[in-house]
Amino acid sequence: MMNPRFLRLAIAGNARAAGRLAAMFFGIAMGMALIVLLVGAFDGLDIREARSAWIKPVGTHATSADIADGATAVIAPMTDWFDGKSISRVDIYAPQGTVPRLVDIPAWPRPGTYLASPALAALIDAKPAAELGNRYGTRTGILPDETLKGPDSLAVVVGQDLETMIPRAGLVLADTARGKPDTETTGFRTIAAIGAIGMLFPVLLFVAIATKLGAAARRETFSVLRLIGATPRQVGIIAGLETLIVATAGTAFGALLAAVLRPVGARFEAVGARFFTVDLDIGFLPTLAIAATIIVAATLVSAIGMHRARIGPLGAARAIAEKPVSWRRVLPIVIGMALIMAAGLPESLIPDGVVQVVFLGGFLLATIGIVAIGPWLTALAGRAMARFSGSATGIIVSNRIAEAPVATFRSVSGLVLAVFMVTIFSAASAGVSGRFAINDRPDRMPVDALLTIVADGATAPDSLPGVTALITGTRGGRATYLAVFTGADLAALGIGGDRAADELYRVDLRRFTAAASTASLKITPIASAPADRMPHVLIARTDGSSTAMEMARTALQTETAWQVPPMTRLESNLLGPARVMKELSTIAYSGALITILISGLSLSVSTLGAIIDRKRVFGLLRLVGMPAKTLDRVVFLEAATPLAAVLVFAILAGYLAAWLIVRSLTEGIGIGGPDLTYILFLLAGLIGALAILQISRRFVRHLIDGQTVRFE
Amino acid sequence: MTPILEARRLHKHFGLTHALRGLDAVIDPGEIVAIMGPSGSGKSTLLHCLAGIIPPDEGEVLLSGEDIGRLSEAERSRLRLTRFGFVFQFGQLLPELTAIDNVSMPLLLAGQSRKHALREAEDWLDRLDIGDKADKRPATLSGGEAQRVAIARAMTIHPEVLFADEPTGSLDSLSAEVTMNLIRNEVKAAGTTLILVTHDPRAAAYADREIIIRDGRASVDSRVAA
Repeated sequence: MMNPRFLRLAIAGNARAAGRLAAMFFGIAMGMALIVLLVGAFDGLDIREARSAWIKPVGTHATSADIADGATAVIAPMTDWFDGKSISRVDIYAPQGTVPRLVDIPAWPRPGTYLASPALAALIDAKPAAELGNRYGTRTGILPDETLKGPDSLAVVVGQDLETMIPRAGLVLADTARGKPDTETTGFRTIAAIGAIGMLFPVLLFVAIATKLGAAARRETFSVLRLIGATPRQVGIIAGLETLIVATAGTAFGALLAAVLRPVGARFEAVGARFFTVDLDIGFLPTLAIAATIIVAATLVSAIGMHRARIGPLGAARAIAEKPVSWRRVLPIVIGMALIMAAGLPESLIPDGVVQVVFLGGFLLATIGIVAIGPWLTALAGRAMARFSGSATGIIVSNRIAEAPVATFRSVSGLVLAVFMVTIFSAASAGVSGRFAINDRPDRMPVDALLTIVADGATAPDSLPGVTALITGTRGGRATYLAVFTGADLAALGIGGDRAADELYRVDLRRFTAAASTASLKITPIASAPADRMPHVLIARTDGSSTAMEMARTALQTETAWQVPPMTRLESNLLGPARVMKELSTIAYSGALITILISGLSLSVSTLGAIIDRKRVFGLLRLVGMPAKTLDRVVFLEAATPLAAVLVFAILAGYLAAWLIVRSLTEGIGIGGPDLTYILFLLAGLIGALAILQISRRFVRHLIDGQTVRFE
Repeated sequence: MTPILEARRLHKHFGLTHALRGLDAVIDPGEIVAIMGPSGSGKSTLLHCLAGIIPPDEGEVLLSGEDIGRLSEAERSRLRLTRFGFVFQFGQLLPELTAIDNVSMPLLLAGQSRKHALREAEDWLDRLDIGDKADKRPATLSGGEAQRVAIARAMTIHPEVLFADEPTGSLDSLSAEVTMNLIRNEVKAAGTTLILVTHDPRAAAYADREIIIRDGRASVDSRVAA
């Protein structure tokens, strides 16, 4: 049993220890706060999806016959749009006595009235009624927060009469309706898990780096303790206890920090919407579990480090050499990539239930692989540099790198990981954006146009506000996606080709409204028009301005009997699976931002630790006359060389991983090249790294002088 | 003859400790001078002041008649690189570099080519009888071998002054004797001035002259009785 007073002196007995312990404390606190917030965000995605699922109901399809007598409540879920923002919309016909219990809303809107989310209500109030408000009628209430995804959610429940609802597409019998959260889909879960791994990994790495800070300084203290008679076990207890105390205090402070930062964290968009602050609160027990994990992990890292150091009474006299890095470090990334590739194999080769495990396992392994392969590549670069270097700086740096690749790579591991993640996110999201980039083409619907499918028997209005030309297509067959236009109509739609104005042509609307497909539009001349010549589709062209588009959309909604709400070509390509893919890009840049910030913290903490560790060596170099500027260069190159050695690899591996991920999650979508945002992120990362190294160089000058060699 | 080093009325404080109290000393070129005294007497502080590692609070240090206190930090670095050599108790070698790279380092820092630096380093290692350890790293050398590498590193630039701070402090008596013989022979052969800080009277016996420091002043300055 050790004297507590001795422990106190051994752990915090000098000013230098105080600085090191403070750095560890803040490192662990920051890590804890970020992990709690990230777990909260991951958890919050589930909570808010479940809460707001009612607005995307599924259930038994209702036919016109089902509701013909007017006694059956029906709902019609759809996506409406305003100025590029999607509005979750549910139209409802609820006769007396058949109130749908989809969500606990006390009074459903009557025909001609609506309930709106606070954000939509504010938008309606801020915009002219002809652009938005007229679509829904009279507002009679606000949807409570408890029914919404987040504070920015645009959602509306519109009461309709029976006649309006009968022709609508996608009607659901209200008593069979249930909410279907996105979290039930494999795609959503996989994307959320990628985001979580991508953001959590750098944070864990940061906690590990913070824990190891100043290990050499401690080694000296412990060797002195051994010299004066402390047993290895006692030294082990002191080392473990020190970490335990700092980690406990750090995690407690981190939990507090997370609570304070929660409102700030809630302001970040994830999967297309901000959070309510309460959604990020994971509760006491999960917070305690995270804290306990960090404390145990940090104490283990410390204990293993002490065990490896094998500190004796003269422990500080000799440097402990790193074990040579093995080529086996290549294996995790190779196996990881292979697993991601395997997840994209046909279903006949890999069972459906196994796909997600294989995919996420592969991604996790590839992420670990980037950190594992770093020292190996660093050692290769060091050996190559040693062969060709002739200057003192080059020889010191190359030998240090070749001899201690793990320690030198550790400083930049966070940044390398961040670049890997950013590359994956960027390449994947650029591919998705490219897939849905909408450009005018001579055989596609113009970007300034809105298309709506109208009910049988509907009439086309003569003119509508905001509309420069209203083109009517008639039904082109049994399938709703076939429409017939005259040659003049096609010319008005900007469809190229030499056609007689009064001839009739059948057009496939699916290809007419497609985004990425480059297949040409098939236009088939037909001999005669169907007998009825009733309007089937209305295409409203505008001047392309937001005001004109939204006025036209509102007019089409209020003055026509529509089946499918009016949409532009861009909007019609952002529904269904496409929406999940677009959300990937939103997660992507949130992840990128967090990883870049964390990597900056990691670099500063680990560079600081490396300088403290090598104080004696740097002091010796100054003593033998190395100019301060040369020493600056050594410090800079010891971080910059491993970064340069692994950065190119991380970028290439990131692109490969992105290609494999997108290929296994989607059909027919490729990855995109570097875009401006990606380049800006890389530049921000590199400028941040240079700034941190610059500060470190100043720190070296401050810390190291010729006397250091005598007193270290 | 102009002294190679001259300390005039040196004062140095470390907080409340008055390490040097108006110390005077004169060292001629080619001399071997042992600085002795009890712990805390100011021996190492004097060595650091003479080598330009730390500036005195008062007084001046003249190197061949020039006040090194007037030199900038960069100029003092250059001085240590081209005119001074250092040997310490534990060798203080760079752990990541091989013995030969450690020895060649001052020459590389002085801007010489690697080829030339390696040739010079190899010559010095052979001369000190550790040529076969050229590719070893410090962690694999014995204390005596590491000290020889340190001597080779210090001598490779042909310094005018070699500062040795307890160079035998970590060695057994046989290794200590071998090391002191080596240092004395090499500095005499090169005409280098040796300033030796030591507790050990046997090491001091290799000096031409002893300066004994007590309470920050030179209490005895005498030729060693041969």
